[in-house]
Amino acid sequence: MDTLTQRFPEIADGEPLADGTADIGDRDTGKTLMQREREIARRYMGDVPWFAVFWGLGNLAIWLALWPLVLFGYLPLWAAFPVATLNVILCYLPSHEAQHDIIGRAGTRWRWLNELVGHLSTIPLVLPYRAAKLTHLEHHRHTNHPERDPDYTMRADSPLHMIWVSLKNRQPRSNRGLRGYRDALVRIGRPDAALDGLLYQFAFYGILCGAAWAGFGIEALLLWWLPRHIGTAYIQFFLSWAPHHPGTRQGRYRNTRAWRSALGNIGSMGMQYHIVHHLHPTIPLTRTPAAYRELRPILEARGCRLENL
Amino acid sequence: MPIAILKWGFYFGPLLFGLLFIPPVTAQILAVLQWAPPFGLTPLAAGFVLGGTWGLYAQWRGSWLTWTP
Repeated sequence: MDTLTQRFPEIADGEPLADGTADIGDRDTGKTLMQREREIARRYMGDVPWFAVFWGLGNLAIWLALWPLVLFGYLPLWAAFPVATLNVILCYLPSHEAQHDIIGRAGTRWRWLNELVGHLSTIPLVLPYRAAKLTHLEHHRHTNHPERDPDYTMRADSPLHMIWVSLKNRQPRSNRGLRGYRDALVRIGRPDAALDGLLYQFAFYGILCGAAWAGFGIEALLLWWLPRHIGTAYIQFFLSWAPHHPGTRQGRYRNTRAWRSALGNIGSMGMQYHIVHHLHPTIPLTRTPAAYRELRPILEARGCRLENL
Repeated sequence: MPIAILKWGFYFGPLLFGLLFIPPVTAQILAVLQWAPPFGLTPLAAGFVLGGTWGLYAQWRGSWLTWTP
């Protein structure tokens, strides 16, 4: 069994094809579609995705460097603000690779690096690794389930509506979006991970207030507070909303889609191929486009939503 | 006990943000823009009025932006 079926035992062979017939196998090779799909997917798994490692740690280093550069007058704040915003937007995906143990599985040589990248890369986003990992795996297990998918509350009717939903979900008494992660963690019996979120928030606001009273309030506002809000909306737009929209269907081949983003593959942070990630979460992000192109005939046979891609 | 303090701080987060972050930032922004607050208020006092009012509203309604959370 591959890692996917080990982690998600509910995923099994035998799902019907798009035309309603059973996946009984190819007449010449004797292999089922599921076997062919797994063979292709396996070719893209394995090896440490060093790009994600350097991306995660380098991105954090750049964001950290902005602070002394701005505070000591080497870089104007107006120039640092867009860089900081980009840093926050880019900080999630390396941790996402770690959440799926792509950099190093438990018991392997690079496990420490996996956990290091997972913990450090999302600091600008103020998102603790344990909480992110547990809720994200829950999202994979129950994608588009109204009660069990922690990201279900990111559903919206249109792109503009989604930005509004993202903002509303971040309000103090909301229990949706990121603020609903606590309930999800309690539900799965991990309230200890919810405490991480509380500590991160306390540290974040403590640093903001400390900086403000030390005379660096605008710097804190434009290097962290505002970039974090913009970055959160951007990440939720392309990771939670767009790949699952309209988020009404469940099932291995129905709960996400491939689509062509107006911002391209880089602008959408590789999420055009999110369907590959949901089917085979241990394929590194940078290999999902190639995996998608090879898997496409199988996905078509499965009746997946492949929209202009 | 420390967890109780964290939860207390989290519960009163909007009010604390309004009183501890918005006032000094407002004062800094007013200084950069060289704007004088109305009614003879100092920049910091203007920040406390703005942050205190907005923070109290967010604490009461559960949202900084809307009437309902």
